[in-house]
Amino acid sequence: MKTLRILYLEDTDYDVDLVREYLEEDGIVFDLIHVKTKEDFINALKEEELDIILADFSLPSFDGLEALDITQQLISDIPFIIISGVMGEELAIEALKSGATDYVLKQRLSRLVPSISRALLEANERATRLKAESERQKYDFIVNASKSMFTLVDRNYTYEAVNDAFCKAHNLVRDQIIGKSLKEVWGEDSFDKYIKKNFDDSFRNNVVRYQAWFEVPSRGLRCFEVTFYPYKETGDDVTHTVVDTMDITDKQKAEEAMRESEAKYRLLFDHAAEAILLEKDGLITTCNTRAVEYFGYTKQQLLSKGLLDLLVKIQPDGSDASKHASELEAVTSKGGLLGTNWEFKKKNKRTFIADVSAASFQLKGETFYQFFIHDITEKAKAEESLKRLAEAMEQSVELVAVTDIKGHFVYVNKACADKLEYSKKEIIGKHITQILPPAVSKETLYQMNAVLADHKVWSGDLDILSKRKQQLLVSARVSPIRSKEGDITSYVYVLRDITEESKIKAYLRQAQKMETIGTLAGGIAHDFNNIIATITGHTDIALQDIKPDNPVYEDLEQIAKATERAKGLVNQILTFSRQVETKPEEVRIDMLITEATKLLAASVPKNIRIKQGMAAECGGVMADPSQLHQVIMNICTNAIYAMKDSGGILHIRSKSLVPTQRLKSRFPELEDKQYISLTFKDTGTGMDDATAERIFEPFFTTKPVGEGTGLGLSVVHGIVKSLGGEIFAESTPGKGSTFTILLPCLEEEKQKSLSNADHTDHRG
Amino acid sequence: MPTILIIEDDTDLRRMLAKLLQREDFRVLEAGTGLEALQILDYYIPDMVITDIIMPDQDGIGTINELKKVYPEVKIIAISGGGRMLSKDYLEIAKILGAHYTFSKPFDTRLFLEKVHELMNLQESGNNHPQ
Repeated sequence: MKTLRILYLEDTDYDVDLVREYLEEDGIVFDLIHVKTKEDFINALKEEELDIILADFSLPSFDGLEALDITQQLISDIPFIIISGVMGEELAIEALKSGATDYVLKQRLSRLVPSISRALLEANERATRLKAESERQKYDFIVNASKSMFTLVDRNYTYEAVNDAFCKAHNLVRDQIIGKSLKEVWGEDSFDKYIKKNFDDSFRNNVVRYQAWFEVPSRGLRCFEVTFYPYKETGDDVTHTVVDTMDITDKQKAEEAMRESEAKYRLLFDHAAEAILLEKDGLITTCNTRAVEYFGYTKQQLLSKGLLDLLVKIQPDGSDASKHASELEAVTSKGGLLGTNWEFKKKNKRTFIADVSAASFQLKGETFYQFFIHDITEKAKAEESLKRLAEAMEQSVELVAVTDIKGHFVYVNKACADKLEYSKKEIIGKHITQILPPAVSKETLYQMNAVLADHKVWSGDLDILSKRKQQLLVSARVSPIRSKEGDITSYVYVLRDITEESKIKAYLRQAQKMETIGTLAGGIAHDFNNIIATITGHTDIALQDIKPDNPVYEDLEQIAKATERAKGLVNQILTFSRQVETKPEEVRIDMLITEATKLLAASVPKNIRIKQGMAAECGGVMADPSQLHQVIMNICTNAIYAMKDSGGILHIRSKSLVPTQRLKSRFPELEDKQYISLTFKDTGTGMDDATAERIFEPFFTTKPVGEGTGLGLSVVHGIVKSLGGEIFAESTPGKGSTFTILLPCLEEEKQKSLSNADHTDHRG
Repeated sequence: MPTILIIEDDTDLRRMLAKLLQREDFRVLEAGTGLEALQILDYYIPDMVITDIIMPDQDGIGTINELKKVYPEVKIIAISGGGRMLSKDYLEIAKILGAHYTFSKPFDTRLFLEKVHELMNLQESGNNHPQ
């Protein structure tokens, strides 16, 4: 039995002994602390562990009510019994009102022990109750502090308890819920359809748990995890269900996000254009589906290999594959491109070229290498073919240029740049019109643009200007380039320089014309000769029939004279058409020229000088000297005529040459042999292109009517051609003209004999 | 009287030649084409044939060739007017085939008559024509 610790405030020792007796008598084990003064009382209250306090009501310096007051201030809830000798009814009631547990009269101390017992019991009960209350408050707090919603529902589906979270979530106060049925709160429909079965399940002693999205008034649509815990208040039967409703929206969302991100990376990994390999300790630990496709191995087969096993041993650059692998550490530490143009082999022994990037990372203390293998075989092939194409275009003799849609050059090939005399750098960015002469008609450009705008190809001849303002004639083909969408993005110009070609064509046309005229003239000459012969014959007959003193004799003589002139003219025409009898012999050109100029000198006006420059190596030609003489005289006469007003110098030069390619392209009949070139350069009036083109045509003359027959140069032309030579004129109006005659040289042996004969002559 | 056959397609010229020779007391036969000449030659053999080289149906070259085969003693003078081809070439060929003289139109009538007489005299004196 526990020792009862008693504090007794009493001034009389006798009374104390008496109380001891009563207590001992009743067999109570106790420890009694006896104090007499207020001071001792307070000290005892403060220091001792006490179960009960006994106090005398009236003390010399102190009284029981004051002691009660002090006690209540220092110790709560301790039984306090007043023991008094005399005590009126009123005092007793006041003491009890003040908190005393009981009062016992000294005269009736037999009541003391039962009073103590009852007081102790009551105190014990009160303490127990207080403890329970405090506990309940703690649980209350815990339950209400939780963010989870808790409800307690009985078997009648009525709310018996809810926590703050629940009230807050539904914007309700507790009283609006407690005592209400679920039906009342959620409506009959929801209750029957969704709510009831979970409760029923729980009432059958099952824990029910599910997740669902539903709307709560305070927070909107949220995701919850709802758990039904069966609750047994007493015995083994389920009396209630505790519903725990936990908001897991954020958790759910985080999980969802994680799942999504994982799925995304998985997708990236599997569907990347690159084969991705993860390697640890030289063995592949993970690979994506592209890797399986790339290499043709199954995933399982790949996992037993390393990157090195997939590389072709000798790489395209001649190095060993293992050398590349050894660079792994260095490259991955920086993270980046491990190598380009590596050659890999597939299961079927085929190879492919790829770029490889690598990265390394640490996981649980182990180093992993990640390889991204990008197949560039197709790209490399395409690049190769593109390169070839570009090279071909660059090497092409055709002139190729590309302009943007506005007509600015974006590409020209070498041939084109060379022809236009620009560097590529100079021409890129220039506008197409900058290489067209101003004379190119707007109509041509308009027509070209119209055709191109119609997505069609324009072709035609164009004049273009080089950087040094050289005009060229090109045959052009301009095609629009379209994008996939069908829009025109640029234009391709393919040009061919036909300047020379057109010159040759013009020359051939001219030659043909001369040939035709020659044939025609020859035919006419034939008929003329018959007529002249007839006239001559008859005139001769008539002259024989009459005497000189006859009046018609002189007339007939005039006819005869005119017929002579007609004969000469026809002979000229025949010479032009190369149909006269000639007597070719070896002729020294220089001597012939000297002779002719001597002859001319007599009649040349004072303001005109003739200069002669003959190259020593120039030898002889095979020709009729009289014809050649006619040629020289004719050209010189023309030159002098051109300078008759202004005066000037006629330079006559000769040299020997072998025709250049350029000359030959202009005059296709020239051969690869030695020619003598004679140039007659005057400083006269010159002539325009239109005139220069026609000067060798018969009957073409610029001289006033009556001054020339128009046959001179055509005859010269005929003679030169009949000698296998060529004649051409270059002229600038106002500056003068230069006539060049090319005549085939005598072959070497003949040349020698000619010069020997010459020597002999000198000696003779 | 010595007879001369003129083969010439130009009528005016042929008439002039005929008149010229008649004045020198020759008998003149005229043919406008080579074919016509051959028809005449079937019936009559002249002392001399004067032929134009270029004629429409049978050219003078053919005529000379034919004559020399059938009547090698007949004297021949070829005349060419030049034209479509180099007349000198034809005259050259004519000479090779056996024409005694060749003339290029228009020609000197005096020189022409001289040569005609020269050939006729050779014949009269009984000598062969020159090779």
